[in-house]
Amino acid sequence: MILHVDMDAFFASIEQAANPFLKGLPVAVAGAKKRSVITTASYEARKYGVKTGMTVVEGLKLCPVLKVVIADFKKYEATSREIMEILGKYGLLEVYSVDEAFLDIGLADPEKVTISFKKEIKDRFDITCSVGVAKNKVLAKLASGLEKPDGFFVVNDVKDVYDVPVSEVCGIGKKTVRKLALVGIVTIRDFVNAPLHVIKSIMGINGVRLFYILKGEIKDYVNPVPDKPKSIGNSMTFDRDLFHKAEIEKALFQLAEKVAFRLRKEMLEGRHISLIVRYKDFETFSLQYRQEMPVYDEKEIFSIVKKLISSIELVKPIRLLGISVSDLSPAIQQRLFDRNLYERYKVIDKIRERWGFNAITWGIVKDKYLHNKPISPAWRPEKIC
Amino acid sequence: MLEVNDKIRVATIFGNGKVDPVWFEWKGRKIRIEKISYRWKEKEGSCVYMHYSIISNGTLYHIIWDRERMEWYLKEIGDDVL
Repeated sequence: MILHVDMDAFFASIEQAANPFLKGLPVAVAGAKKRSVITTASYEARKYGVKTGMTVVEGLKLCPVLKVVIADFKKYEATSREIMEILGKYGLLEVYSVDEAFLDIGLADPEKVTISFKKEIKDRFDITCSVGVAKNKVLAKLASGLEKPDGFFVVNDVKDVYDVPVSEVCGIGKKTVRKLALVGIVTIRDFVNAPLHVIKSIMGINGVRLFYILKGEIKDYVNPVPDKPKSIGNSMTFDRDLFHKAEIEKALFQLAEKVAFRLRKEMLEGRHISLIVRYKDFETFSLQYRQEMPVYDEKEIFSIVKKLISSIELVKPIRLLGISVSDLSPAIQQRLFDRNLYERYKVIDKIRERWGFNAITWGIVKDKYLHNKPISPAWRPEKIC
Repeated sequence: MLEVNDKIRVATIFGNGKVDPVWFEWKGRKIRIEKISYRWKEKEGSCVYMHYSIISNGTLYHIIWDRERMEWYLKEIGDDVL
């Protein structure tokens, strides 16, 4: 059987465990004071309508007694890493995100296994999780959301969830839900009983796959090896808006450093560079550049994004900047041409791995903007995968 | 929480693979730890920092042990104290 383990209001639960004075109170975890959005709301806060994605101001309007806690992503990463280590003892583990995992337990008793790891997690961290059990990952993930918090839900057959809306199925997004509704497909019952060509015309090959998975005719296996990244990126929301060229460039260089470091760590290089700009009022746009020669080097990435940002007129102060490199390939080509440069970066990266990312930097970013790094949805604990 | 970042002296019990702070001295006061409510490990390069959320006399403290330098810091303190 396959289990989907979903930590309950993960960040907020950790804050309530770390600070027992917050227990039972409506808590929201936010990136930084006032300006940022809520990343997790505790179940007490959800009762007031406070949701992930709202701004702190919106949350406080709905719940004036809301306790806003500044996110401590290192604490959440560390907790996630330990939880994944616990889960890994019970079967084949696929880390899906910082607070979700799939577990293939073979023929073991799902209830006994769940009771056992729930206890371990509760004893160690004083937090809970909800578990869905099914023969495939799609149904297991659906099941974990049906009884929250601290739930346990088994789906033996797709008929057990016939009345659940298709919007609850992982892989069916809002736009697809609307398209399916137009042809009368609203529930899982409608989906699995629809003619296959209708599903295919709306969702393509992914829809066909989902159709057969839900019907139990093909299995989606737990995959302990993470997929190779399709892109590598970093972004920063600033405590105060940036407007001056020098500080924007400094922030861009800092981002380029992080992206380049991660590219080299993954032994990758990329041809497509995107720059994401978000103005003070949340207006967001991106600028793209593509080049034949792939990049892995912060100076080159910086020079590209600097050109990109110089190509437009910045009309408002900036609250967020991001850089992403995609169209990735194994880092071979550049090394053949720039052996010395590559060796130099290897030394810089070694220092960073030994002493931390901020241990060495370029003169341009001597006074770093120390950023409270959010967790990307693609984050995986290094030791697990 | 209010940022403090003061170096502190800490009495510690080592055992069962754990490091448990028992009391610490801060600004001439001896603060007895009643409960360790949360602990986590942070890695920055190869440096390891052990973080503790602790409770004493109705107040939450966040202390850190820098394992490499063998030093303790009081990182943050509940808003109600200062």
